[in-house]
Amino acid sequence: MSSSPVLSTKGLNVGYGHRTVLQGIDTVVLPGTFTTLIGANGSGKSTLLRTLSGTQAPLEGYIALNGKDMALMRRRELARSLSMVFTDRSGGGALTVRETVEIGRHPYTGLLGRLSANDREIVDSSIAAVGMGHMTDRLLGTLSDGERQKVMIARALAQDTPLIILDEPTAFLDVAGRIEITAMLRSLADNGKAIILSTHDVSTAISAADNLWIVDKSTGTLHAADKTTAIASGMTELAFPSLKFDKQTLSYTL
Amino acid sequence: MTRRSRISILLLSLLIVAAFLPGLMAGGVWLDTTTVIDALCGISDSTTRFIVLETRLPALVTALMAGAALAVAGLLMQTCFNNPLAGPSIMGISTGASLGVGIILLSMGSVLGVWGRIAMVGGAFIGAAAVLGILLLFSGFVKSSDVLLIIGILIGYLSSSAISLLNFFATDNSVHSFVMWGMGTFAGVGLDSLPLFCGIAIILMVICIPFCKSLNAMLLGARYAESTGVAMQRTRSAILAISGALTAVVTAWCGPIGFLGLVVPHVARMLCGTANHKVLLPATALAGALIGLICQIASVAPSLSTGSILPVNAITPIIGVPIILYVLLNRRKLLYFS
Repeated sequence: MSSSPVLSTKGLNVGYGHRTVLQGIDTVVLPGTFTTLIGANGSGKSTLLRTLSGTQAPLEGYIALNGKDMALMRRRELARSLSMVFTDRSGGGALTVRETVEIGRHPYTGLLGRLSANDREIVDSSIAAVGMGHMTDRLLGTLSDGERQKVMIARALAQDTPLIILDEPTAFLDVAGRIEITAMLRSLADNGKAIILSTHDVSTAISAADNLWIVDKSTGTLHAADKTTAIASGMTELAFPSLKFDKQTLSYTL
Repeated sequence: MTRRSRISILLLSLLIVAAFLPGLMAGGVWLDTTTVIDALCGISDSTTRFIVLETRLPALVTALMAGAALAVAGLLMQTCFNNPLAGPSIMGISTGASLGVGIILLSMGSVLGVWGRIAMVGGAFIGAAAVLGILLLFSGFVKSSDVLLIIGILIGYLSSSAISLLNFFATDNSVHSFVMWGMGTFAGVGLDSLPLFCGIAIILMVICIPFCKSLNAMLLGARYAESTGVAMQRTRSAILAISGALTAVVTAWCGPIGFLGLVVPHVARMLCGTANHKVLLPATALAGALIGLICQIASVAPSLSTGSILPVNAITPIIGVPIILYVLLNRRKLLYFS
C-alpha cells in the first residue's frame, strides 16, 4: 500500500468572504486511515469539508490531492480523486439502486454515459460491498434511511476514489444504522480507502477512528492527532468546552 | 431499460402512428379511410388532396412536434428546479415568450411569411430567455424550489400585465391577430415553414441527449451532482436555455400552449415507472407527441357538426388538470420527487 498522502493541506484558511471560520490548517491524510471530525454546531465542520472537497474555494493556503494542487484540477479529475456522502435523504426516489450507483461512474464515462463491462463490474462489486446485492432493482424511494445511505456509500465506492468524505451521513439513522454504517466505513479504511467522517455520533465514530480532527470553535483552529494522543493530551475536550470527555466510554458528559 | 419501459415506448410509438388516421379523417369535412389513403397515395382529386396533405397533415405534424417539444421542456425544468410542478407555462416562460411575440406582432401590425415567423421566434426566445434569466438569478439565492415556482408565477403575471398594456395601446387589427394567436392552434404552421419548425424542434431535442447523464445525477441533489463532476451552474444554465428555446419555438408558431409541458413528463414517469432520463427523455417526447395529436383531433372534431374548431388551450387543461391532481394527491406513493 502506498503511504504517500491522499490529502494534505498547508496554511489553509476556510470561511466565507471576509469571515475566516478556521485558520492555519496543516494536515495530512494517509491511505487506509479513518479520520473522525468532531466539533460543535456552527464551528465550521461543513465549511471545512466543502473546502476540502473543492466545492468552496479556500480563503488562503493550499490543498493537495494525491500530491497534486487541487486548484489546478479539473472537475472530472477531482471527481476521480474524492467522493462525497451527505446527510440528504431526498431526491432520486424513482431511480433503482443500480441506477444510483451507476451515477458514481460518471467521471469515467463518455458523453452519453454508456457503461463498459469494467464499469458494470465495479458497480456490481460496489453494491455487493455495502451488502445491498439482493436489492439492486429496488427503487431508492422504497428503502429505509439506513439502506439509502448504504446505496450512497456504494455510489461513492463506484466513483473509485482513494478518499471518501462523509458529512454527517448518519444524522437520520437509528443506533443500529449508525453503528452498522460506521463499521462499514472502518472496513473500507482497512481495505485501503482514506475516510474522513464528520458526525455528532461521537463515541461510535471515535472508537472506529485512527485519527481525530477536533474543531476548537473559540479559537477557530483545527487540532489533528492520532486517536491515542488526542485522548491522552485532552485535545478532545476542546470540541465542547462545557463538557468533559470520558476516556473509558469515549463519550462526553456534563 | 426495463421491460415495462420498453413496452411503454413501443406502445406510445404505435399509438402515435395509429392516431394519424382519425386525425386525417376528422375535420370540417369527414373523410373516410379509403379517401384518406387514396389522398396519401396521390390518387384523389385536388380538393381532397389539399385537405389531407396541405391542411390536416401539417397540423398533425405540428401538434406532434409541439407536444414533444413542450413535454421535453417541462421534463428539463422539473429536474432542474427539482419540482414536480415546474413547467414552461406555469413558471411564466410561455408568458414571457408571449410578451416577446406580442411586442413583435403589435408593433409590426401583422407578421407574414417565413421571415415574419423567424422574427416571432426571435421575440419569443428573447421573452422566454428573459424570464428564465430572472428565475436563474433568483435560484442563486432562493433555495426553496416552491418559492422559486411562485416567483415564476409572479413573473408570469407581470408579463401578462405588460401584454394587456400593449393591447391597450395597439391598433384593433393587430390586437385581433394577437388574440387569435394567444388562443393556441396547431394549424398555423403552413407547409412552407413546417420543415423549419420541425428542424429546430428536433435539433433542440437531440441536444438534450448528452445531458441525460447530468440530469440523472441532479436527481440526487445539486451537491451529489457536483461531487460526481457535474459543473452545476453551467449545466443548469445550458439545460434551462434549451428548455427556453423549445418553449419559444412552439410559442412562436402555435401560441402559448398550456399544461402540456407540466403534465406529460408525469405521464411518462408513470408509464415507465422510472426517473432515469435515458428512458424518460424519449418516453416524454413520445407521450408529448401523442397527447399533442389527441389535442389536435379533439380541437377539430367539433367542426364536423358546428363548423368551428376549439382553441387548443381549451382542451389541454381538461386533459392536464386530472393528471396533475392525481400526481399531487399521490406524491408520496409515486416516489418521483422523494
